[in-house]
Amino acid sequence: MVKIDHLESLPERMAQHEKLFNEMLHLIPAKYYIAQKQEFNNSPYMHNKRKLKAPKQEIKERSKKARKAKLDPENEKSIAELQSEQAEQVAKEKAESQTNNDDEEDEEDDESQAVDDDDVDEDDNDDVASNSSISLTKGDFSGLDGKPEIVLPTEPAKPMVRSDIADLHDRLQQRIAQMRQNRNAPKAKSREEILKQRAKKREDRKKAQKQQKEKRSGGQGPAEELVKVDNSTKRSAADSVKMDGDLFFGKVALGEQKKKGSIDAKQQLKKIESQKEKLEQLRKEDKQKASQVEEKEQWDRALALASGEKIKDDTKLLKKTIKHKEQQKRKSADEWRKRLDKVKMDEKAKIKKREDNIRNHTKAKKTGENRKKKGSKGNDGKKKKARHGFEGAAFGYGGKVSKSKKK
Amino acid sequence: MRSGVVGKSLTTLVRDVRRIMEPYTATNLKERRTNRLKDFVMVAGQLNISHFLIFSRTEANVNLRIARVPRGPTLTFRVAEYALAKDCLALQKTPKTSAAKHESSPLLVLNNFKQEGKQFRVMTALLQNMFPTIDVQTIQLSQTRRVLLFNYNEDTGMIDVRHYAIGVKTTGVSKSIKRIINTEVPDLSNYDDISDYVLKEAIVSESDVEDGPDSVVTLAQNYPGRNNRKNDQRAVRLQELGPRLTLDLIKVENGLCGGEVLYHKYGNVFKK
Repeated sequence: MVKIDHLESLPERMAQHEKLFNEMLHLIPAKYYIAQKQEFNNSPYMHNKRKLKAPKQEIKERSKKARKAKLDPENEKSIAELQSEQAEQVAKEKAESQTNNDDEEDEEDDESQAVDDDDVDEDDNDDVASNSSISLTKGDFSGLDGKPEIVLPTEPAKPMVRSDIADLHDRLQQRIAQMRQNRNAPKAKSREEILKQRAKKREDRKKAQKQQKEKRSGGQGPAEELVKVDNSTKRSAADSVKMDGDLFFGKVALGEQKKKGSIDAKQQLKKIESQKEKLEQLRKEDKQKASQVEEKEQWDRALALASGEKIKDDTKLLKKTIKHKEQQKRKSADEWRKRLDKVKMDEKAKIKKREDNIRNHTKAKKTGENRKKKGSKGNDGKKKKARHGFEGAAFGYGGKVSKSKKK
Repeated sequence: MRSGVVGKSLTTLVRDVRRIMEPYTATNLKERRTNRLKDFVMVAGQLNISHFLIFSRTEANVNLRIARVPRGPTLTFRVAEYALAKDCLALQKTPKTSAAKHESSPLLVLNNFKQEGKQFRVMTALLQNMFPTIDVQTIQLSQTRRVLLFNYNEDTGMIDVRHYAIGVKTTGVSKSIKRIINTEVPDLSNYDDISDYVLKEAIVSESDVEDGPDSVVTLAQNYPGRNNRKNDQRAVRLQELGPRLTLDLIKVENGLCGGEVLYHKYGNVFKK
């Protein structure tokens, strides 16, 4: 729309524009800009072409002529000239149509004129607005109805006045409403309403799905539970992590530890038995207190066991241990005795042997058996000690072994 | 170990729990149907086994019994929820699993166990004694690669069990410098000068979380992993390793899966 401030300079600018466009048009060859009249009048898509077929000879001659004409420089008309010629034609025909008042002719002319009119209109850019305003004010949506209408720029350019705009707006709304009715479209809704509706639909769909799922799995449900677990207090663990202290760590070895003197099994047994007795007594007197004491004991025991200490409080086992120990003692005592006995026996035997030897010796001395003759060394005589490899056996096998002299 | 028919998922859980307890556990123990508890007890004496962890399944729920072996107390838990180790690892972008981590036993952390009730003391004692004592004088940092966390949730009365691997990360420097220090030369084809690369603060990735002064420690010794020398400042990061359990204490018995019931969650059922 043209601003009212710039109204004075308007004609100059329009002249400038026109000049510019004309120059450009001059450069374009005519055939690309202006559509030539179609041969097949009033028909989309050439039906019944055969009826209108021209004889071959004519076509040939026509084409020859056309070729020659193309090359003729005088024939080349610029767009401006063509358009001016067309404009003259249009004016003539309009005058004719007005006088004749023939519908058919009008239609034909209208069509051809419409084609030309479009071209003419295109040339005058600034008149488009006014043209449209004219057509609108006439209340005529010619394009939409499909009927071409002659619209000539009869009035000079006029900027759109603001009051007109409101009018136009109303008209537009009316038109839209009319079309919607024709379409049988649903009632107009605002954007928010539409969004709300969609969200609702989505939710409904989800619910339906969920229900279906439950139906399907409800049949298989969990078997009867012995202990019903209350799940209502389930909360994510991360919410309630206590961060302030109370941290325990693994066991840390803290240097030397005092070793408790280990108690003898017998004494242990005694201890435990006395404890039991005490508990029994207490139970007779005061049951509650007794149970309390008992419980405490149990807990302490559990704690100690968990900590790794060895608690010996099973009477059976203790008795067994005692018995075992006694047995061992006895056994070891036995063995010691045996050993001592053995040692003694050995000693005795030795002494006996010694004494025997001495007695024999003295006896022999008295009888003089062992006296040796002078000069005689003993075993002189025939018995000579036979030396290995030298004396050999009586029957004489082998003989002295000497190194063989074989080469 | 498992007791009875427990199903595939629980078997995997048992395996995961065994990995937590490494190295002081029988990782490849195979229980047969005919084995009874007393068989295990007899063997335990010879092999110096201190605790049993027994998983079992009933119609209603999965149970875990932790018992001290010779005649010790038995704690029975109901496993309310569990998540297998492979699922926990699948959640992470870059899971870090290395066998070296399992060469020493995990550190134990118990949170919020200072509660009313004797059963908590027993529980604490039991859990603490499942793991070897830490000798403060001679322990190496390289032996502390994992941590096992028990958290008692007061509101729900459940114990959460989580298993993490301890890692250290460089702090105080931007990601680009970190990359240069830790890995090899980066790709500088897009930059004119290395100063561009170093100063580029463009993407602040998730792992670039700013560590407060609490989580920054000074390494007392060399730590395994590249470039962790003594007296360096490092931020401690935990990466989830193993299964998640949510336990609910049901009863405490005085004997090995038997004996007098000291505490029962749902009232004093069989009190004499």
